[in-house]
Formats: sequence, structure tokens, C-alpha cells
Amino acid sequence: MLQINNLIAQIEDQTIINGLSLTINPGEVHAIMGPNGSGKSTLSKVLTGHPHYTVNGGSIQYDGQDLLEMDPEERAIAGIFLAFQYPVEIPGVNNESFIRMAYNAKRKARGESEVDAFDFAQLISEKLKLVEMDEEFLSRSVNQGFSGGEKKRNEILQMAVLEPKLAILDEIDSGLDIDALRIVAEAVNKLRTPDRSFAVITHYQRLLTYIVPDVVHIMVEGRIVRSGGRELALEVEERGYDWLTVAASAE
Amino acid sequence: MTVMTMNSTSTLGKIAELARAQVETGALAQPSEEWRYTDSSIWVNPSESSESSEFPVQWTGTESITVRRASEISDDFGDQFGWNVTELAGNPGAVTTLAFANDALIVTGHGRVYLAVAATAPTHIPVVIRVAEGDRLEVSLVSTGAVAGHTCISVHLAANAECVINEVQTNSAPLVSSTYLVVQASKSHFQWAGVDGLTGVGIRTIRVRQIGDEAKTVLTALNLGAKKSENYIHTHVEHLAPGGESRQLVKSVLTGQSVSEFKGLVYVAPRAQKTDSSQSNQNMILSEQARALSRPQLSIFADDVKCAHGATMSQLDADQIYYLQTRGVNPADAKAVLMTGFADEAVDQLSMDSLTAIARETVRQFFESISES
Repeated sequence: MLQINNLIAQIEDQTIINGLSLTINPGEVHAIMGPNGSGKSTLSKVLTGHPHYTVNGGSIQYDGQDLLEMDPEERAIAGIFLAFQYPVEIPGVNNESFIRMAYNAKRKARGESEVDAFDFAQLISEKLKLVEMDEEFLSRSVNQGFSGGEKKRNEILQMAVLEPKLAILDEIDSGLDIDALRIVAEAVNKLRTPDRSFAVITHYQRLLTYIVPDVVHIMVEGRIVRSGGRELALEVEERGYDWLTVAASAE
Repeated sequence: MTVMTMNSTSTLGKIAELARAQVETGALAQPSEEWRYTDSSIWVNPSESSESSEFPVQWTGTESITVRRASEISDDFGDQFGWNVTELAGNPGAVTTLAFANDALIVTGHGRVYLAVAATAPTHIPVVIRVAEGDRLEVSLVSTGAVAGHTCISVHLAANAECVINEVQTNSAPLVSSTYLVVQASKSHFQWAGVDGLTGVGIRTIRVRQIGDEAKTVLTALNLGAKKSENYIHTHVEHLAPGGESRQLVKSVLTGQSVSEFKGLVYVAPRAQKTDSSQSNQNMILSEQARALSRPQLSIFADDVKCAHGATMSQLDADQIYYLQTRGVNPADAKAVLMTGFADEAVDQLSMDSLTAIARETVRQFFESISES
């Protein structure tokens, strides 16, 4: 589904991703861990086409297409979803209308008719239960005045509505207390399907006790220095990243 | 209707000068107690004016509203409206002609009233709004004429009274100015929401005095500036009693060479403890030459208060556009949504559907003209 080959990407003059390769097959859950500044969030931005990042090496194939040739909205319509580490607040834009617009953008691209506000209200009220959110969240402005946990739940709500093929969760666990973490993780687990793939970016092993990954990657200095099973995350928790950092710079 | 001949340039000049002088000098820097009702000094002195014109004021309202016409404004204005007051066209919806320079409107009662002022010559309109204890009065104000006009609105709120004023100005007059003098007794609630889509100069001067405990004031403005339009919003909110609350939100979207200025002073008197006030001025600047001036000010003499103020100058937020794109929305749609959202936060404060519809249409046309240019 996703093949990244020897990717090099930079912001301004600084190279952040430096020769990264990664393959994610349909239905797989990949965890991407690594110290601060190792390029994890940059990878999520590059995959979704953030305008501030430039790619100057390597390739990304998604579903047989050249992802780097696609605009951010085309990638979204093709099934890529990013749950933001810091979801953006949009004052004055109603949350429900926003999610409906996103939903209809996908339908329109598939040549299907747009769903009106009434039908959408029914659809979204089902999805709300998944993230244990109150109806009241829908009538507020997008993410405005939401607590950290509410913002993350709102991201997962959007994911539940948009039903992506590849979901990238960028530190979905940051800023969450233990109850909110459980709700978010359980919602993600309910959204796992045999075809849907996940890239779960996290600092902490704790999230991976809830969302159990098939593969764990450790990213250091812009590339993946080690990949393994679930036990790699536990090893990192115990030993930190230093031994991997040293190993990376020794190469 | 007769329109008497007059030198419109001089009248326009006079109104403009008057309005500018008010906003620049703050003509009421030291308001006295008489100002509880009004301060006639800011009005054109009718006795000195030899000019006169007539203009229609259309008003519609619920039956419990009384709109009266006061002719022969005396200098002793504070004397409990002791003028020659007559009922203004008893049936709602009637068009009444008022004469420039010796007329005023007095609005009392409870319910809703809609005033459309169709000026055909430069006008100066005094409006007095009195809301009795426990009553709620909603006033919507629209100018439809294409000449300069100045409306001076004096609002007196008794205890527990509520007054909501919606003002939507969209015409092509060279100058549309309004001055509000608001006095609030305890637990009263004053809300003003204004949308300025004028192509000329728009000036709003709003002075509020909370003289009773726990009064609440909410002021929300949206300015749509294009070409060479100028917009000025000057507010002066005085918290003179404990437990008061005030919220000010002034938003501008500016293109072309338009200018917008927000100058707002919040004054908290020594006895006005537990005051909770905020001022926010947000400007979206979409062209190289548009300018926004922001001067939120605080003058606080009490020690147990919460006063927040802030101003932002921005273009369309790249992160917001990107966020929408990652949800499948193309950049053109994303920009339209963001601009409308920016405006809606203010438009949503309008409490009367017919006016909200006018405002939304104004906003829509404004953004359409931007995307075309």
C-alpha cells in the first residue's frame, strides 16, 4: 500500500528526513518511535503534503501512484488521513459542517451525491459514541476551546467518518490522561479492519499496550535504524534511545 | 417629500468634522452625571443650524414598542425628555418623515423594532432608547441612503433591563457615523453587534458606563474593508461598579487600500472590584496596502479584576488551509470557508434574522469580489 524509498526531505535549509525507507502493507499497524527531533512528525507532514517541506530525494508510492505528485487534498481523497499532534483551531467554522464538508469532498470525488445536513447528523451521531463525545462538540467551532483530550478525540471522530485506507496518528497519546488515552485507543482499535493500515507515531511504549502494532520502527536522525516486533518497543522503554543513536552515528 | 435646498458640502463637512472630533478627542473624556441620559454637547446644536431637510424613517416593530417623535429639542435635554413628544405613526411599518435638525426618535417599551433610515440629504438623527426595569428591547438599525449621516443613540438601561442593538451598514454614503452613549444600571445587559460593509468612511463610537453592579456589556464588530474605505471603531467602557463584565470583539477583513482602526479603552474605577473584561481585535489583512491600527487600552484602578486584551494581524492561516486540505478540501474552498468563518464569528452575534441575512449576503459578495480580483 505504501512504499517509501530512500526519502530525503527538508524544511528551509535543514534536512530532517535523510534516507528513510518504509513499507506498509494493507491492514498492518506500524509504530514509529524515536527521540525528539528524529523526524517522526516531519514524516507525517511529508506524507500529507505540508507546503513547508520539500522532498529532494527518494520516492513514495501509494496504492500504485506517485504520492509526491499529488496535492494534499488529493492524498486525503485517495484515503490518507493524518490525526494531528496539534489539531488546528478554526474559529467561526462549525465542527459538524466542517466534518460534513470533508465527507462530501470525498463523495464528490467518487462521483457520489453529497449528503445533506439531516442525513449526516444521523451518520455522525453513531460515530460520536465511538469516541464517547457529547453532541455539543458538533455545534462548537472546530477545535476551538477544546481541551487536549477533546481535540484528539475530534481527530479520531473525523477518522471514523472519513474511513481512510491509511491512517497516520501523530502522537495521538500526547497530552492525554489515562482515561482519555483508553477511549482514543479503543476507538482506534474498533476502526482496525483487514484492509486499513496505520502508522502510529509515539514517544511512549504505553500507547502500544493499547494499540498493538505488527511492526515497530525506531527512527533516529531522519531514518529508520531498527525495525522489529512489539518487543522492540519494550526494549526501548528499558534502555532509552541512546544505544540506537550511537549505533546510527557509528554507521 | 420636500427636500429643502442646502449646501450639502458644508453639512457633510460639519458632520464629518464632528464625528472625527469625537473619535479623536474623545469628546466625553470626563462624563458628568448628567450624561446618564445623554450629553447634548455632541449633537449638532439645532438652534444654530439654519439648514433643514426631511428624510423618511421606516420602522416596524412589535406592538409593545412605542416609537415617538420629539420635535423642538430643547437645550435642556436631560429634563426627562420634556419635549413636544408625539406618537410616531402608530401603526408599525408606516413611513414617517422626520425633519433634520429638530427631530428625535424616542424608543421605549419591550420587543423588537427595526429602523431603516433612508437619508436623501446629510442627516443627523438623535435616537433615545429607554428600557424599563426587567424589559428587553431589541433595535435593528440600517441606513439605506447614499449621503452622509450621523446617528446619535442614547441608551438608558434600568436595572435588569436588556437592550440588543444590531447595526448593519452597507451603503455607499461617503460617511456613516454612529455614536452610542449607554448607561447601565445594575444587572442590566447591553449587547451591540455591528457589521460595516461601507464603501466610504464608517465611524462607530461607543461609550458605555456601567453605573450599577453586575452589569454586562457585549460589543462585537465586523468590518469589511475594500478599495479606499475607512473604518473606525472607538470604544470606551467604564466599569464604575463591582462585578461588571464586558466583552469586546472587533474583527476586520481588509483588502485594497482600506484602513481600519480599533481604539478601545476599558476603565475600571477603584470600587469596581471583580470586574471581568476582555478586548480582542483581530485583523485579516489580504492586500499589501491595507492597514489596520489597533490600540486596545486598559486603565485600571481596582486590584481584584480580570482584564484581558489582545490584537492579531494576520493573513489567511497557512496551517488552517493545510488542515482543511488534509481533510480533502481544495485550497480555494478552504480559503472561502476560513474567510466566512472569520466573519461568521461576528455575524452570528446579530440577533435578528432579517439583518443576519443582509449581513451574510454582504459578506458573501465581499469575499466573491476578493476572489475575482
